[in-house]
Amino acid sequence: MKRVLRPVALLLSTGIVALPLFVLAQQMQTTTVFPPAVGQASPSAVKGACRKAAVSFENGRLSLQAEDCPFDWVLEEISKKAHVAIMTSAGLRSQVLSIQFENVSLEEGIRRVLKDHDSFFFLGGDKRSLSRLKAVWVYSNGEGTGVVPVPQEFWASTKELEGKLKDPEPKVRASAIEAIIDRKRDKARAEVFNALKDANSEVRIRALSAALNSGVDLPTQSLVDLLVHDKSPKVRFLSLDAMADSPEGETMAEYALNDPDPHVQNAAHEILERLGRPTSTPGTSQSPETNQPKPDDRN
Amino acid sequence: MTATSTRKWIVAPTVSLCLAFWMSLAAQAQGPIHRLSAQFKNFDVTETTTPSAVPGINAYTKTVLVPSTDNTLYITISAVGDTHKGNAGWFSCNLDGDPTLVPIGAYCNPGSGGHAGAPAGWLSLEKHFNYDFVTYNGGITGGDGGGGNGDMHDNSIQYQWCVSVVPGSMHTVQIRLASSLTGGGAGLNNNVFFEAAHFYVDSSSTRGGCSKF
Repeated sequence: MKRVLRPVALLLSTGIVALPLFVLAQQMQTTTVFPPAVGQASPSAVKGACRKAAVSFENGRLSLQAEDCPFDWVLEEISKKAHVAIMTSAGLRSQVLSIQFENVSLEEGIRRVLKDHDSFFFLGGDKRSLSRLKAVWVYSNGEGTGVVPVPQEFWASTKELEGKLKDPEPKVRASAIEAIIDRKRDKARAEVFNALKDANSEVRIRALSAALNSGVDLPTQSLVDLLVHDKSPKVRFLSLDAMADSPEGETMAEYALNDPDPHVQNAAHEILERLGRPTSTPGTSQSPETNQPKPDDRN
Repeated sequence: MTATSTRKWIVAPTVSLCLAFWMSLAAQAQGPIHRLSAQFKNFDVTETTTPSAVPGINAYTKTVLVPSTDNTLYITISAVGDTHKGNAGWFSCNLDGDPTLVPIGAYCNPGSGGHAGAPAGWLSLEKHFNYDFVTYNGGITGGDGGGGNGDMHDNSIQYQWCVSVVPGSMHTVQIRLASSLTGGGAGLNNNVFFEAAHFYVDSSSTRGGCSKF
């Protein structure tokens, strides 16, 4: 939720109030899917409100004859027959539509129906054939400008995210563990420990970074193990940095002075210098000329 | 946003798809600023000082891991300081070491400012003219310290560099301090100082990174 609120907070701070509220409103509305097309009226009753109503979809071609039909009913009929999810904002459902065409492609037909509206078409690929239209989002004219898709970790359920932790794609696993940490905080320790064993370093880095930034309480011994054993210098750096202010910080910084990665070495120098133990590294060391006490006669 | 499709054909993966929502383009285009480090030094009646010419001394160093979402680093120094004998306090920011000392090092910005006379990559953030008390006979001499007429305590030092970085990369940020040695030459009091300093290292996702205007 924090990741959703973060951009919202950014917008609020810049005085743009309407858009984030709009986003949140959308989020709330998306939690209730598959409602009746118009209020509580049955499809047949709604169809009865049309002076003419016929929708057919055969061999990938769409035909439509509608006269004074509820806009939402038309979209629902297309959705059911062409197996395409069509999402509309509530304000559009009360509109009435009259249109007629025959034997056009699905995309072309929907575009004709939506000619007075903003819309987003989602074409899903399956690697075996051309991408196929799977979903359409419909907004009133002008409302669609300035909105973009939101990554799944912003809206998926925690259970769905947990399933993504085993995704074969490392980036998906990394995003999933970040989102889970964001939601569960310290209760995500088990998932964090598993992610820190991931074979992919990017997953480990992002899991550790998210855990440390979200207050997940990782035992010092786990951080020590990462500093000593992890192959990724970024993981070692993060673990060292996390221990900097702990009782083990000085010992582990001394250990990290011999880390094979120069950045980890630099971090170790920085910790020891902060602890009043200046060290020397070419190009990065503190000069003995610094941190001089002010003499009584003032400089 | 509601779905007009029915339950009959929608299976679980598609349900996820239907639940997807959209957000403001403005919100996505500009990433938040992440404060990677906030530290201070010389708040204990000590100073960071050097009489050395460029490349001077390493006045501050901090190693950071840039978030995988970010492509721009911001390095800030906020301090007070003074200089002796009319020397300018020259400051530089670099990633992974001064390029004249470390082959992999690079200035945060290798360009030059105005007519301060600082070499490329360096900026004059503090300077007071060491006025000639003969010319200004009758006035106060000696500044308010022991560093000559230009020794004035204290003045604000505030600067922020931006630098493009590879998302997810690791860098050692360094701020160096050097004296201009223009206060009378070698053997004289060429010290430059700062104290009560705060240092901040931030990052963000910025379209085009840190780019020339």
